[in-house]
Amino acid sequence: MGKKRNAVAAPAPQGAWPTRDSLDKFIKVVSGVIPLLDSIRESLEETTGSIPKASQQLDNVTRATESATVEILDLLERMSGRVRSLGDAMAALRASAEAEAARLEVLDGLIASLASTRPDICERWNEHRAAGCGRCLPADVEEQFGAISADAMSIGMALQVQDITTQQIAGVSHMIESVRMNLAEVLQSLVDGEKVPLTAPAAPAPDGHFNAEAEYSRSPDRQSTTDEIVERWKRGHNG
Amino acid sequence: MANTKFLVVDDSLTMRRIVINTLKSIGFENVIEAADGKDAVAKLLSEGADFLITDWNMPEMSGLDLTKWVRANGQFAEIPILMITTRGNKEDVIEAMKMRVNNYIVKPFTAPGLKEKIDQILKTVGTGAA
Repeated sequence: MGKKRNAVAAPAPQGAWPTRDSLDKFIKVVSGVIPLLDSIRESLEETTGSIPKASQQLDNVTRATESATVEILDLLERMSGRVRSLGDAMAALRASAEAEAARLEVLDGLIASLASTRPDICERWNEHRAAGCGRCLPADVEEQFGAISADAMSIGMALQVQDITTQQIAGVSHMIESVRMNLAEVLQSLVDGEKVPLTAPAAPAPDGHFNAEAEYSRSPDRQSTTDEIVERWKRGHNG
Repeated sequence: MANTKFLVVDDSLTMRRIVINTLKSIGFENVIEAADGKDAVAKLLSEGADFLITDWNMPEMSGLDLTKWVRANGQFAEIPILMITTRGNKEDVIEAMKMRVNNYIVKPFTAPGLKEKIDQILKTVGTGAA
């Protein structure tokens, strides 16, 4: 005769099993997240679709600035050529004026010798000279032309900014492309349902066409520093 | 020296124009150009040059790789090379010097600065010093 044991279930520890209420709440939350994920997916799709357009626009900016810069350089070259021609013409004119001044001095002497016999001619000649028959050229014309040429050269040199900004823009495009690639991966994972940890995007390897750290600085310090490095290298490797 | 034939290498058309204009303004009229290292190699082999001015960052073949090729090529191994680049870090300068560029200019360069470097190099090459 065995005693029938009453099977008594051990009481569940408090909180081990979800209640019906908490289950309902959980289902509501999950139901709310699903449309949110859909919304995120749509947003990501739209963003990854816009990025190539942004990159293309940056590329267009680079092409447009290069085209405009080359046009400016063409104009500067033509301007410099014209200034050179004017300078040459001015130099010829000055030489001619000096030759004329020398001839006039000779005439001055000859006419002065007629002072006693033909004072009327002397008087007429002196009046003519006083009226300024010799050509007078401004003393600093050549200097002005030189200054114009130098300014044109300076403008040309300043246009190096176009190359430097092109490299900076290429750096930005590179970053945009890496963001696009990573967003595309995240998007794919949302579609496939796999978890992808959202870490900082790993940029694709740079292709070496640009220096994203290029800077436009007119300070002579950068070149001075470079010169010191070069000199130190040469001293150290030339025995 | 005025007849020195320069090969200017840069993927930026703007920069090539500026360097060439500057060379002409300081008396060097004999200049040819290339858009990258690979184009430069082709120009060297077909037209030759006495002096190379090159950028660093270029497609196809960088200025550094071009320098390496030139220094390894018997025919052109000793031609002067001047690097003109936006790269101004100490490590970059040293890397270029290790490849045996003769001198190094950081963009944006100045006309007097370019003339000074070219004159120094031509003088050094003329005396046979390193």
